Amino acid sequence: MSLPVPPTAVDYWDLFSAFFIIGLVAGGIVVSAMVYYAYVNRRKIGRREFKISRAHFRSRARETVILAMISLTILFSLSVLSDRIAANIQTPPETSTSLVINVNAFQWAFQFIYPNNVTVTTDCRIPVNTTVIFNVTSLDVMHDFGLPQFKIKTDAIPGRHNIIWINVPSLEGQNELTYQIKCYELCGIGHTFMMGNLIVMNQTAFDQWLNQTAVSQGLG
Amino acid sequence: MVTSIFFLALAGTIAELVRGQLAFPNGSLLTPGLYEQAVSFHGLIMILWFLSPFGTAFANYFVPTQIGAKDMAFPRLNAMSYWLYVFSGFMLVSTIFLPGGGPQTGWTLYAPLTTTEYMPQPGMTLSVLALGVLAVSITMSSVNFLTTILGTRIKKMRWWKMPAFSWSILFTNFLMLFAFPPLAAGAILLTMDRVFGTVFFSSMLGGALLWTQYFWFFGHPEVYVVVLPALGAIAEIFVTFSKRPLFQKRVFLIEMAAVTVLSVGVWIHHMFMTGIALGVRETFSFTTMAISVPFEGLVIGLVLTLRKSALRITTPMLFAMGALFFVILGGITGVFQASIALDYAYRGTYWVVGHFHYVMVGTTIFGLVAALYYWFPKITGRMYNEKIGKLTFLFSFIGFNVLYFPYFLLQDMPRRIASYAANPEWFPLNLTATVGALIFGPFILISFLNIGHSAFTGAPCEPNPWDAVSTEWTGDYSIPEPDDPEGGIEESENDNEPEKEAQPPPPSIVPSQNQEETASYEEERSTRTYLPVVVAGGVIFFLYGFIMFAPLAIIGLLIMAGAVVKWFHDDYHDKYAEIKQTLKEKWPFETVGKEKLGLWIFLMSEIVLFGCLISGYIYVRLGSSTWPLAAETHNVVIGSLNTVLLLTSSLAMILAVQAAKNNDQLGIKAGILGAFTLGAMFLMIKLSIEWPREIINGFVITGGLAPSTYYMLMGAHAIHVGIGLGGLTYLMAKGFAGKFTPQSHTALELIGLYWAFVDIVWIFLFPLFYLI
Amino acid sequence: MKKVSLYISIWGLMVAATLVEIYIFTTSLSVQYKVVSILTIAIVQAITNAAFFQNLRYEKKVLSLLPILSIVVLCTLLVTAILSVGR
Repeated sequence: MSLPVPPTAVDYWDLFSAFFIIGLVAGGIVVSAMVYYAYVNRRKIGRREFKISRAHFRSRARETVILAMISLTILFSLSVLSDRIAANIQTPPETSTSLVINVNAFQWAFQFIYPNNVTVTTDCRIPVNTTVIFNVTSLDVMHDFGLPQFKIKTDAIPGRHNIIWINVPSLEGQNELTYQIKCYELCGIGHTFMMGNLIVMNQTAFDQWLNQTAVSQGLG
Repeated sequence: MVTSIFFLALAGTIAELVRGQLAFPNGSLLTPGLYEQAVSFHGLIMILWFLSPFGTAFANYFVPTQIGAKDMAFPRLNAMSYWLYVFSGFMLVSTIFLPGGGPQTGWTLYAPLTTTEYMPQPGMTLSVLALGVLAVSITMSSVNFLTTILGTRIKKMRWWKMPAFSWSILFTNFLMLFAFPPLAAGAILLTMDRVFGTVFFSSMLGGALLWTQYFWFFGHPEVYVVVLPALGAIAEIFVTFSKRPLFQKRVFLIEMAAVTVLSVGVWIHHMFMTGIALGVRETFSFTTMAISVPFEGLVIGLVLTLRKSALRITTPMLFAMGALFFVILGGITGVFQASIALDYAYRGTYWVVGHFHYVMVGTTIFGLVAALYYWFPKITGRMYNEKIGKLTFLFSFIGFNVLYFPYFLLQDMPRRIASYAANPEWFPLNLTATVGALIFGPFILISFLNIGHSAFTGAPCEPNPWDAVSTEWTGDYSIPEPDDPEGGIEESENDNEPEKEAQPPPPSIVPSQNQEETASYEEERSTRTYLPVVVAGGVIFFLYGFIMFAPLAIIGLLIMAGAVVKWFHDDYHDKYAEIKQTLKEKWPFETVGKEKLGLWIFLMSEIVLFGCLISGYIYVRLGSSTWPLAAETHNVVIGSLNTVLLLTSSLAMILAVQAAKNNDQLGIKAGILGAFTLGAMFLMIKLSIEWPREIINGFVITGGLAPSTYYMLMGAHAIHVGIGLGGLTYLMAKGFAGKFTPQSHTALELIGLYWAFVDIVWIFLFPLFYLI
Repeated sequence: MKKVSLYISIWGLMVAATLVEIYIFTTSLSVQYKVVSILTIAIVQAITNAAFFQNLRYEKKVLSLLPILSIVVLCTLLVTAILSVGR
C-alpha cells in the first residue's frame, strides 16, 4: 500500500531535478578542477625551487563577465520558473466546488474548522478530487502548517492568514489515503509532538463523516 | 582566540548531546525542554560567540601587521570590546543555571514565542541583553577595524596592494556595522516588551513579522560576516602554498565587494513562507540568485590560482581546500533555497540545517583552522606537528561529510524536534549523522590540542617557514604585489630572498615575540589600562542586577560611572594621546583625523540603529487603522519648544568649535555652557513636565502600540541626549581649564558632531510623533 | 566673523522651517499631503544640519559618503518593510 505522489510533489521533484542537474554539473566541474590541479601540481615540502613567476597576465575580464552573464541567465530562468510554481501554490484555481478549511495552529496542535463550523483537532479529513483551500493562522505563537508529502507548507502567524491549496486527484483504489501533517516552526516544548494526519476519503464517505460530526457537535 | 575556542568547545559539546538525542527515534538523553535549550545555545554560541570572534582574533593580530600599522586605531576600545564579548558570553551561558533555564526558542528567537507570555523565565531576558551587549561590543570592534584599515595604512600600502585577508576584514566590518544595529534594535524592543510591558512583539500588528524583519535584516549579513574572513584567509593560504598570485586579484576583490553589497538585499529569503506579497518575495529570490554569481567567481578564482602552481600539500592547505569544497557544496544547496517553490519544501527542515552547516562549519571552521595552522609559526615561532595535523584533517573531513550529508536526505524532517518516533524511516540517516558527529567532533578537538601542545613543545622555526610573500611574513612593505604586471618577482633558482633594490630596512619581526613589543611604541605611552575590563564588568553587573537583583544593578552603575570618569580623566591629561603622524596612506580620507573618521563610522551605525527603530514605528503604524492622531496625545507647544531648544543647543556647539579655531577662549566656554544648558533644559522639560502629564492622562507605556513606540523612540533619544550631556560635562571641564587650542580641540569637535547627530534624530522624531 | 553669522542664519532657517512644519500641521489639507510635505521639510532640515553644523560641507566630499551609505542601507529595510505591511 503505497501513497500516491500528490501533484504538488511532482512539480517539486521536477523543479528539483532541474536544479540538481545544473548544480551537479557546475559543482562537479569546479570540484574536479580543484582536485585535478591539486594532484597534477603537488610537490613535497622542502623543495623551494619554485618562485612566483613573472606575471604575464592578460586580463581575463572578458571571460569573467561572460561567465557571470551565463550564470545569471541560468539562475534567473530557474528563479522565474520557481516563481510560477510558487504563485500556483498560493493561488487556488477558481472553482465553485472548493472546500475552504480554516486552520488554526496553537500550542501544540492544529485545529480545523469546516465551512459548516465543524471543528476537529489534529486529524483533518478531506474529500478526494476536490480543491481544498487551507486558510492558515495561529492562535498564539508562530507555527508552520506543513504537508511534507505534498512538499508544501506555510507559516501560521498570529494576525495573518496565509493560503495554500491542494487537490488529491484519486484514491488509487484505496479506501482512504493518510498523509502526514507536521509543524515546521519551533513553537515551544511541544513542537516535537505537533503533528497530525490528513485523511483523504471519497466524497460520499466524507459527506457522511462531516454530517455525523456536525450532529455530534450540536450543529445540526 | 582562546576565548572563542572555549566557546567552541562548549557549543560543540552541546552539539554532540543533540546528536546523541537524535541518534534514536525516541531518544531519552535530553528532555524536550533541555533539547530546545541545547539547540538554542548551540546556535547562539557557535555563530555569535565563536565563529565571528575567531575570525576577528586573526584580524586583530594580522590586519595591523599586514597594513603596516603599529596597532589597532583605538587600543583601549579594542580591549573594551573584547571584555564586553567575554562577559556577555558568560551572561548568556549562565542562564542555563537560572530558574526556568535559558532560551528555548532556537537561535532565531522568533516572536511571539520570546515574549513573557510564552517564555517567562528571566534567563530569556538576560540572553536578549547578552545579545545587546555583544552587538555593542561588535559595533565598537567594527569602528576600530574600519578606522584602522581606512586610516592607518603605512605609506605605499595602496588599496590594490593590500592583502586579500585585510580586504575581507574590511568588507566584514562594513557588514557588521550595518548588520548589528538591527539586531540591537530588535533586542531593545524585545527587552522593553519583557521588562516594561510594551507590546511590540505581542501585538498582532508588530508581532512575528516585525521580529523576522529585524532579525533577518541582521541575520543574513551576519552569515557573510562569518564566512568572509575565512574566505580571505583561504585566499592567503592558497597563494602561499601554490606559490602563485591570486588569480585576478582585482576581480576577486570586486567580487567580494559585490557579495558584501548584495548581502544587505537578500534577507527576505528567510521569510518566504510568511505570506508577504509575492512580488516582494520574487524580487528577493532574484537578488539571492544574483549573489551566487560573484560567489561563484570567488570560488573559481581560488581554484584557478592552483593552475600551474607548485603546490605544497601542508595541513593548512588541506584544510583550506576542504573548506573550498564545502563552500561549493554548501553554496549550491543554498541556490536551491533561493527558489520560492523549492523553499515551500525546505522551510524548517533539515535541508536548511545541512546547507548552513556546510557553509558555516565546513567553510568557516575548516577555513579558520587552516588559518590557525598557517599563522601558527608566526604567532608562536614554532612548528606544529604536521603528521597529526594531516591526520586530523582526513578524519575531520570524512566525519564532517558523514555527519552533515545525511541532512540533505532528511528533507522532510522538521528542525528542532527532540524525537521522531512517528517517522522511524528517518532512523538510519540520523544514526549515521550521529556516528559522523562522533568522528568529526573529537578530531577537530585533537586538531586544536595539536596546536595547543605544539605551542609549547613544537620545534622552533625560522621567521618565514612557508616562504610566503605577503607583508605579515616578510615585513617588507615596499615589495610590489606579484600580480602587478609592472613589478613581478623574477623567477630564480637560488636563494629565498627576492630581488631587491635599495629597500628601506623592514621593521624587525621576530616571530617568537609578542606583536606589541616589536612595534616601535613610545614606552611611556603604552596603552595598557585596566579600565576597559572594569567598564565591561560594570555593564554586566548592572544588567544582571536590573533583571535579577536590584542592589547589584546599583553596584554595576557605580562601577561603570567610576570607570568612565577615570577614562575621561586619563583623556583630560592626554595620557594616551597619539603623536600625529604624517606618513600615512589614507586615500581617500587624507585630511580626516583618525578620531574623526572613527566617529563618523560610529555615527553610521547610529544612523542605522535609529533608522531601524523609526522603521519599526512606521511599519506598525502603517498597518494600523486605529492609530491615535498626534494632536490627541502629544502637546505640540512643548514639542516645538524642545525642538527650538535643541536647535539652539546645536548652534551653541558649532559656535564653540568655531571659537576654538579662532582661539576665542570666552567663546568656547560660552558655547559649551550654552549647549549644555539648553540640552539639559530639553531633557528636564521632557522628563519632568511632558511625560508626567502624558502619564497622568493615561498615555502609559503599557497602553498599546502607540505609547510603546513613543516611549521607545523618545527614550532611546533621551538616553543619547543624556550621554551627550555627559560628554559636554567633560568638555566643560576641559574648556574651563583653557585646554582647547586652535591646533588641539578634537574632543570639542567630535562631541559636537555627536551632538549635532542627536539633534538630527530629533528633527525626525518631532514631526513623526507630534505632527502626524 | 563670516562663519558665525552663517551659522546663526542657518539656525534661523531651521527654526523657520520648524514653524512652517507646525503651520502645515494646523491646516486642513489632506493627510497624505501633510505627511509628505512635513517629512520633506524634515529631511531638508536634517541635511542642512549635517552640512553646516557637522561641517560636512567643509570636509572632503568623500566623508559625506559614510552617512549616505548608511541611509541607502536603511532605505532597503524601510521600503521592504512598508511593502510587506498588510495581509
